[in-house]
Amino acid sequence: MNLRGVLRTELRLAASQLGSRSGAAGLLIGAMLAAFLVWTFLQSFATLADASVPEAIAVRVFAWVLQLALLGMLVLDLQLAVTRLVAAPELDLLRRAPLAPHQLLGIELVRTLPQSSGMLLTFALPAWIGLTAAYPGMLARSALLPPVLALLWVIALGSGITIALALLRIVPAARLREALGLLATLVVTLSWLAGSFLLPRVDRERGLDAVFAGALPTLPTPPLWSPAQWAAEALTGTGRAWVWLALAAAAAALLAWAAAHRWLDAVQSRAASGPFRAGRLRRFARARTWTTAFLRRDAALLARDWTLAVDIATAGVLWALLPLVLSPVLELPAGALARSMLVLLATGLGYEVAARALPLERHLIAWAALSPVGVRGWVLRRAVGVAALSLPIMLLAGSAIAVSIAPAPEALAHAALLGVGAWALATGIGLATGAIAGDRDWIHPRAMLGLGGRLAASLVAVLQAGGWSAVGWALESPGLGPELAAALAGLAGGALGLALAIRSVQRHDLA
Amino acid sequence: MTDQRPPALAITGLVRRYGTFTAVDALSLTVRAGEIVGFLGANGAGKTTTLRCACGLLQPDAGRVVVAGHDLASAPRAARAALGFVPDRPFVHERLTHREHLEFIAALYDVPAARARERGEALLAQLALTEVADQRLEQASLGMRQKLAVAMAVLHEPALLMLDEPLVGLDPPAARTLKDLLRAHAAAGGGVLVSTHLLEVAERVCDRVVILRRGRVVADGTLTELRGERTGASLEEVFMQHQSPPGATGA
Repeated sequence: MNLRGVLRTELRLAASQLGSRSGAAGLLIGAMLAAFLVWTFLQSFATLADASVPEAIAVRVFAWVLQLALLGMLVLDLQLAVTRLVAAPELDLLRRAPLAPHQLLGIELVRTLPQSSGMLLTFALPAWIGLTAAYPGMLARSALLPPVLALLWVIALGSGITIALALLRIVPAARLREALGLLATLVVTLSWLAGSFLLPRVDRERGLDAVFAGALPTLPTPPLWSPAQWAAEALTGTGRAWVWLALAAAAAALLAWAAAHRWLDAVQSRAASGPFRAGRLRRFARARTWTTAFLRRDAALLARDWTLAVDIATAGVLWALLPLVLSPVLELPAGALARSMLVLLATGLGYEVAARALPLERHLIAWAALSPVGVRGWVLRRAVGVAALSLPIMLLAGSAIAVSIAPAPEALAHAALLGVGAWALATGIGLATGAIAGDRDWIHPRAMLGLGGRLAASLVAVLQAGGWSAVGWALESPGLGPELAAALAGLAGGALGLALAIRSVQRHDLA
Repeated sequence: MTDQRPPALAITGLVRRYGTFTAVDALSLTVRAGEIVGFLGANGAGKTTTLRCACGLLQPDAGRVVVAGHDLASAPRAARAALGFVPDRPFVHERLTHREHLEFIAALYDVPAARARERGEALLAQLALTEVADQRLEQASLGMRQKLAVAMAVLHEPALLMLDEPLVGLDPPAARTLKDLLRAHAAAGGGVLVSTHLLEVAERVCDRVVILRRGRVVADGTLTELRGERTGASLEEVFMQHQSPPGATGA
């Protein structure tokens, strides 16, 4: 294999991606996020240094940051790498080329580098900057950071891919893509459960403030066998940690190499052959209106991509339950809790349903420009489709909240009005995000937006959730006037988002 | 008696640029009702860009496109309703069946239900898709997808049918069926503009040929007109003659 040629092509592809509109937006959002994290870690480690916390304890904190980054990578990024390895569109071409399985594995891993290195770079780099700014004695060792992060990347991806390939080879071929989709939902659910149930209890029992201010010296080191601990030790001086780190990386790479040789081709073949499914034989039936044609088609697509429907339903439940889980910490009254649940669910549906509506079209979207429906009519009907799916979820959640939490009628009306405003705004923004950053060739149900689009959409969803919560607190007064105004503002914002989505699709090359 | 029908397609002064590169340069062409026009040119000559501008997929930088008397810019809905387009890569969804694609398109183009059923079933049969009509496109070959794209483009009986390299991926019987379908469409009064690299197809099927070079029309006429004094010259020889810059020899 011409490794240099392959790498050059990949670099060109990456540069062209970054040069695109969504790539540039992703870079911008990524830079903003990085700046925020750098500031956070600078402040945090400066606080430790000011409190004369010894360097060894600060290194321990850094080791925990690496540990969390590694965990995040395993939980969020590994599945993208595995999906790419098994179902990427270019695999058809690559598998016909004279490439050994480990070479193909290498090419696909290089391709996933921007996604799979995100967690490590986003947390480890700012944390190191914070640590060395507060404890300048370690600055000279900064040159060691890139090889350490590279070794951590190899360990996480190598071991993860080995396990994933071993599991995928026993999944029936017809269910392989669905298994990948379900894995995505499972991973999000587990990480949500871990975060939502553990953090509030840590806070209640020990107090995060207390931990940060006074209890740091008692902070345990990460497990000694942990690659993150070896990485922290390797960066801060211990020679033996390098040996463990290098050995673990070599073992992970060897395992991945062996797994690729043994199982990759078989798993890829099964994914490529996929399910052969005939619909039931039936007569030709034309929908009466454009809207019913879209709804009927969407229903068929969701029924067939049922893992996507499961993913949406799960995400909806998790978003709605978030305030309930946090309630022991925040001690929310019933009205505020109901309002927060509805607002968060609405924001979540914008992210989970509306942002996926246009990418779900794949290349059929070209008919928006070809057919009499036109781009405006097409996007409006996508909005109707989003409403048909997300409004019943909102209604169901609203009813469940009203029955289980039983807020006062006026508080429930407040919550409903803000929920409507938040839903309209989130739907408009979601559709616009899908139009601007949607990937028509998506292969992973949680990656229908490009990397930049996902970063931007996450940030916008967090901002919306925060904004609506703040509005809710600010408007807590008798009467419904302010809430009505906020709901109308949300509807107007949603209409603006819809207009932006239409404009974006009109400007895209739909062919 | 002169033909009173408006041209199926009238393009005037079409310009489309990609950055500093001009892909289509002040191009004008007409496809009359009942006529099959072959659209020829080397790779990168601007054929696909012209077709995409003419069907509304791309916005031109200048020029006017009129489909069956309807201006694509000022009356887009009527113009789109009057045209059918077969792209070089079919715009389909792998999770839908062949029949579901046709049902969806019938709704988009407001084809009356009874007519949609009759025409849809007939096209599925004509293009040998009846047996796979209720299978999803996940496992469909390129040829089957291409045949479906043709059925989707003609289902609503457009006044103008535009095809971009429609024979790629088709087996000989399917290619034959497509050629028959083009002739039938023209015989029923529709105009056809077909881009192809297969000169033999253009020679046999097309009433007129337009040759494009670097975004400009360099030849437009019947094969007899294009041959001029070179009686007996093949279309390949005529085509090669027009691919050389003016004044160059050896073509």
